[in-house]
Amino acid sequence: MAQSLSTRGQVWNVDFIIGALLFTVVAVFFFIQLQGIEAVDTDKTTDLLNQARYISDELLTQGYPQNWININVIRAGITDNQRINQSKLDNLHDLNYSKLRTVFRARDDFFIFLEKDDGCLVQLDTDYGIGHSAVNVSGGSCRQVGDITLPDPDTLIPITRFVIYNGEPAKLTTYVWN
Amino acid sequence: MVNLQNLRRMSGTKGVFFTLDGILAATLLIAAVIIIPQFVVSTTPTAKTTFEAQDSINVLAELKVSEVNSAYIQSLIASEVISNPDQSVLEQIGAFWAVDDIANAQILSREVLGSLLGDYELVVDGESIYGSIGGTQVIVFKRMVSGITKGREQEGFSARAIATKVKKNHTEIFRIHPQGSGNDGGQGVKILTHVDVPSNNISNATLHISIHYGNSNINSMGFKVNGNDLGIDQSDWLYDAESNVTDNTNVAYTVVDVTDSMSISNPSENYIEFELVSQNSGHAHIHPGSRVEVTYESTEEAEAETSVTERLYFSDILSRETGKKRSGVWAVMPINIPSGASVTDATLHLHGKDIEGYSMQQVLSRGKGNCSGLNSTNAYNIRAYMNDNLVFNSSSSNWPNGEFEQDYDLTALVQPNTNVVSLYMNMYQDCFWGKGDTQLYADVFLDPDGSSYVEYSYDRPPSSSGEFGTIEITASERFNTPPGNDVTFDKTLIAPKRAFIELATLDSQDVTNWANGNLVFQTPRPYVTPGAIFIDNSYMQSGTNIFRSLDCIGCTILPESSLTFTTLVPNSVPYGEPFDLEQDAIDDAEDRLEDLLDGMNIEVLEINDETISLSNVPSLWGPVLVEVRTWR
Repeated sequence: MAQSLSTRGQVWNVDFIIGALLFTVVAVFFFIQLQGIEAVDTDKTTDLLNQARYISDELLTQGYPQNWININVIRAGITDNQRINQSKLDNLHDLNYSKLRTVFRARDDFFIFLEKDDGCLVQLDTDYGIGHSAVNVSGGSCRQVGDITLPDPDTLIPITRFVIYNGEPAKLTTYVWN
Repeated sequence: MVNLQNLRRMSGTKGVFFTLDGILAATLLIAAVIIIPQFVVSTTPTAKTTFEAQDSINVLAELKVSEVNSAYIQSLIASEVISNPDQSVLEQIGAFWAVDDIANAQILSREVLGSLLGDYELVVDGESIYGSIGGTQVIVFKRMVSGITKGREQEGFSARAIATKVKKNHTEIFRIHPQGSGNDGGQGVKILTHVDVPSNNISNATLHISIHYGNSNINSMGFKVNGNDLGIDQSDWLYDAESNVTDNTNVAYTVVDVTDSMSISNPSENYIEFELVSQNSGHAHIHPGSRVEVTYESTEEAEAETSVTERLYFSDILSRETGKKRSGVWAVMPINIPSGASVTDATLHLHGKDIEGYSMQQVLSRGKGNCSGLNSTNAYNIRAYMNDNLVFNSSSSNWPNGEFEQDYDLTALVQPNTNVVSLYMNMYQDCFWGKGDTQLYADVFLDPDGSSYVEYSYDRPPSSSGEFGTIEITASERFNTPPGNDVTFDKTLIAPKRAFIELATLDSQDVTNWANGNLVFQTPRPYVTPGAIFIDNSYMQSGTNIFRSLDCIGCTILPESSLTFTTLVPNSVPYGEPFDLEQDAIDDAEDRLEDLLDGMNIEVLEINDETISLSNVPSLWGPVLVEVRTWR
C-alpha cells in the first residue's frame, strides 16, 4: 500500500466493533440494573409500609390483655379511644427492642415517637422514642422530629397517627426502615 | 490498533468512533447504576392521607371541649357560649353549626386540627364549614353526631305541669237514709240531720224528700232547713199516693230547691229538720231517696289518700209517745268499702236515750202496731245488725235513766261494697212500745263524740285506687226512667272512680242492684235499704255502664232517682315539645294543662312545673354526619 494514502472518511472496523460492543454491553447492563433497583424498591417499600401500618394500628388499640404488662403482653396497644394511656406507654418503653420486634412482628427496624401539639417530642425517661437503640435524638429541652437521626436507612417508611395525649392532640409516628 | 498519538496528529478525524469514547460512556453508565439507588427513599403518601382523615375525626369525637388548650375556646366556655364543655369537640362543632355559628365552628376545628393537618375540609350535614379542595383525590371519614339539628339549640327544654290546687264545681250528696218513726198524729218524730258543706260558695242545693206515712194530712208534716220552714204543702209534692205495699198508708216524694236556705256563714253547720206524723195506721218514716244535693265551688289540693277514715253521723231522731201511740226509733246507715280495700277498723257508737227496760213479756203487752213478728224470746228493747248479722241485742233494765251509750266493733263483719248497719230501739219491725220519748242521740255541732255514728277506716293500695295524679269530678244525673220496680239506667263514663245509685222510691222493701251485670247490693234485711247504693269502680268501665235496680212488686223506683258518679281527670299534662328556652317550655305546659281542665270546668289555682333539659337526649334531634376530608 502507498504511505501517502489519506485517512479522511475511513472507518477502522475493529475499533468500531469493540467500542460499540462495549457500549452496548454496558448500556444493557445499566438498564437491567435500573429496572432491578425499581423492582426491589417497590417490593421492599410495600413490605416496610405493611410493617409500619401494622405497628401503628397495633399502637392505636387497647392491646391484649386489656391491661397488659410487660410479662404478658401479646398485643402492645397503648390507646383507649384514641387517648394515649400513659401507663401502657411506659410499659411499651420498658420492653426491650427484641421483644418489641416480636410483638410488632417487625422484620425491619423501627422507631416510635410521640410529638406534642407544640412540636416537642414526648420524653420517656431519658429517651425520646421507642425502638432501635441506634436512633439518636439530640437537642435541647424541646427535641423535635428534625432532631432524629436514623442509622443510615435505605428505605424509610413513616406513618403518623393522630392521638390525644394528656388532653391535647398529638402525633404518634412510626418509622420503619431498612 | 490505531496509535492514539498518531490519530491525534492526523488531520480530518471527525466522525471516527474511538474505543476510548465507548469506554468513557460505559464508565458513566456503570457509575449511574451504582450511585442512583443510594438516593432512592420511598414515601407513602396514600397511607398517610388515609390515616389523617380517620384519626382526625376520631380525635374530634374523643377530645372534650374543656380539654382544648385554647384561650379563646376557654373564654367561650367562661362566657357560656359553650354551655356544655364536657361534650366532644365534634358535638360542639355540630352545636355551633346548628345555630349557624360557623365562625366558632371553624375556630374550634382549627384549634384542634390545625397543628395536625395541613389541608383539610370539615363538612357538617353536607355543608362545608371549613377548608377547601387541596388535591386531586379526596379521603373522607365520617362520624354521626346525634342531638343536633340545623336551626335548633342543642340544649332544649321540655316541661310538664301539675295542678296542685284547683277550683271546681263539685256536687255532693248528703243522704238521709231510711229512719223513723212517728206514730202520733200530733208530735210524731223529729229528725235532725246535719249537713256539712265544705264551701260557702253554694250554687245549688236541692232537697229530695221521700216519706212513708199513715193517713195524716200531708200538710201536717214539717220540713225545715236551718230552722226555716220550707212551707211545703200538698200541692208541692210530686207524688203522694196510697201505698201499694202497706194498707192504709201513703207514700210521697218531692224535690225542693233549698239553695237560699243553706247557710253561707256556717256552711259546715247546716241542718235539716223533718217533723213526720202519722195517725191511725202505719208509722211515718223516711224512705230511700231522701237527700240533699249540693253543688258548690271548691278548691282542692291534689293529693290522693291511701288510708281513708270516715265517720258518718246518724240523725238525731226523737220519737214521741202520745196517747195510744208508742214511741220507737230505727235507722239505717251504710258503710261503703271499695273492692280491694283492707278494713282496719269499723265501730258503731250508739247513744240512745229513754230506752225502756221492759221485759219481753212487757214488750209484747205494750206493743202497738203490727207486733206479729215478736214473741217472748225475741222482743228486745234494743238491737243492732250489721247487714244480716246481729251485732247485739238487749233487754237489760240497768240503763240509768234509760240512757244507753256503747261502742261495738264491726270490723270483722264489714264486707266489700255496701254494708248496712240497722238499729232498733223500743221498736222492731212495725211494733212500737216506747214510753214517752225514744231518742237516737246525735248533736254533731256540740257533742260529736257523744253522738251516734259509725266510723270506719280502710287502706287501699295505690295501684287499685287509680287516683294518684288525678282530680275527682263528681256529678249527678237523674234516671228520668218511667216509674216502676225494675229500672235500667245507662251511662257513659270516662275513668269512673265510684258511683252511687240514689234511689228515689215510693214504696221500697227489698232492693237488688246490678252494675254491668254484676250484683252489687241486695237489701240484707227487710226495710234496711240505704239511701244510696255504692258502686265500686271495679264494677264499672270507661264507656257505657248499665245499672239495674229491682225492688218488690208494687214498689216504685221513681224517675227522680239518680246516678252520682265520680270520675278522675288527670291533674297534669306530660312533657311536651322541646323548646329552646325553658320559660317557653313551661308556658306551653301550663297552657296545655289549662286547656285540659277548662274543658272540665276546673280552674287551676296553683301549678307545679317540672322541666327537663334535653341536652342529654341524643335522639331528640338529628343525627347529622360530620366529615373530615383530606387530600392527596
